Amino acid sequence: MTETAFIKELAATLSEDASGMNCETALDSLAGWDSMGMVATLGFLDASFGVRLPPGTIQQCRQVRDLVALVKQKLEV
Amino acid sequence: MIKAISSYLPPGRLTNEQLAREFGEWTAEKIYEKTGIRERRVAPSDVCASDLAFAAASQVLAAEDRSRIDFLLLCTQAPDYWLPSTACVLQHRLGLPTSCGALDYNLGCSGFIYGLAMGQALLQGGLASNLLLLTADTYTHYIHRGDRSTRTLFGDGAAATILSNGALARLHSFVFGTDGSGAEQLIVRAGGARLPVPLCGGQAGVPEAQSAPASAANLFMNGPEIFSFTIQRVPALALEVCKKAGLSLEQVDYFVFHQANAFMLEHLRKRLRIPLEKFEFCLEHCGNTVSSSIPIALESAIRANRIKPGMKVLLAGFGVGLSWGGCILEWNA
Repeated sequence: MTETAFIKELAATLSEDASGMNCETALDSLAGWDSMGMVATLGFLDASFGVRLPPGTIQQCRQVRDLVALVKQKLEV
Repeated sequence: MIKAISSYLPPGRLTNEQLAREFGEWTAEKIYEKTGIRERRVAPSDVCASDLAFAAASQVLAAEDRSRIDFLLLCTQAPDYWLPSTACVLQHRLGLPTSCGALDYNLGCSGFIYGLAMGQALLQGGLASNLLLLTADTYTHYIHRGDRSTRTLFGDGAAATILSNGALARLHSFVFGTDGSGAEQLIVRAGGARLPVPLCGGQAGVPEAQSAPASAANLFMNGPEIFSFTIQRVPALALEVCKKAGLSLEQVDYFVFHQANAFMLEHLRKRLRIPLEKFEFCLEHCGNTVSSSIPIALESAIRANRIKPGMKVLLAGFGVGLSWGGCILEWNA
């Protein structure tokens, strides 16, 4: 999945407009990035990439690029 | 082992429309899309979990000889008192014989499975012959009014199950698990001996205003961590139960999981590749009723004939503790 496709999927997961999102987007600036949004993102990462994050990891993500990096890192291991 | 199940939900309702009016950011339909819940049942502040348990028990005992009940197990995280056990209070209130053993145990979403296991052990060990298993909780009494994520999920409720030898459903292949390192992820900190309510700087119960500060007496749930725990543990739990039963996942006829929320259930269903028609969803009109969610779902599935005689049903409970458990129920085996 390309970064663009990832962002599109992430935006859909968070009920956000993908056109306003890029890797630099601060997650806290997104209305959908609340507790349920994080849960939905965990579901998206597991379902799409088989990536299950260690405890506390998703709360440490600040930008969209952090999520992209986590997926890349997990898939490379 | 299972002879009969009956559930009770309090009449009060908290609808998505009410929540949408209070929180503004979500529409009623959006809440439904995210949770699979349209309304939760809410007990008034002066109605305790034991009152809900009493109502459920009264229903299931209507067709029973009360004098034959010789053990009462109550699963609750909202006991009436520090002491005595609420089960003792209910033994008297329900008119059960004084020869009846009675005890509380404190578990949440896995509690029904543990109750079935303990009940089965008491029956098979010859220590009881007709056992009443009660599950009851009033989580809404712990939830802060401004906590949107937990208010949308939890509802109050109770269930009463009669277990006896030679009954309609056989239980086997129990699997249990516990990881107390996650205790902080779903917790009411105050009210117990470690942080008694008068010392916690807050007030128990639901504050009137959303803007009131949350206290240690309110329910705290780290949603993302609970979700991570669930997707890590529950698929493995289901497979382990199947292995113990000598079944493949495909040979299981029906699945009744703890009704946490529809998003989580759907994720688990897809991960385990369980066909939609073999998977129970029963939370649209009651929300997540904690320890009662599995018996409420079981009762609904049996009544609607989704669970039929001869079926092998996989039950799985998981949540606060962190604690999990599963087993196979063979209906009318």
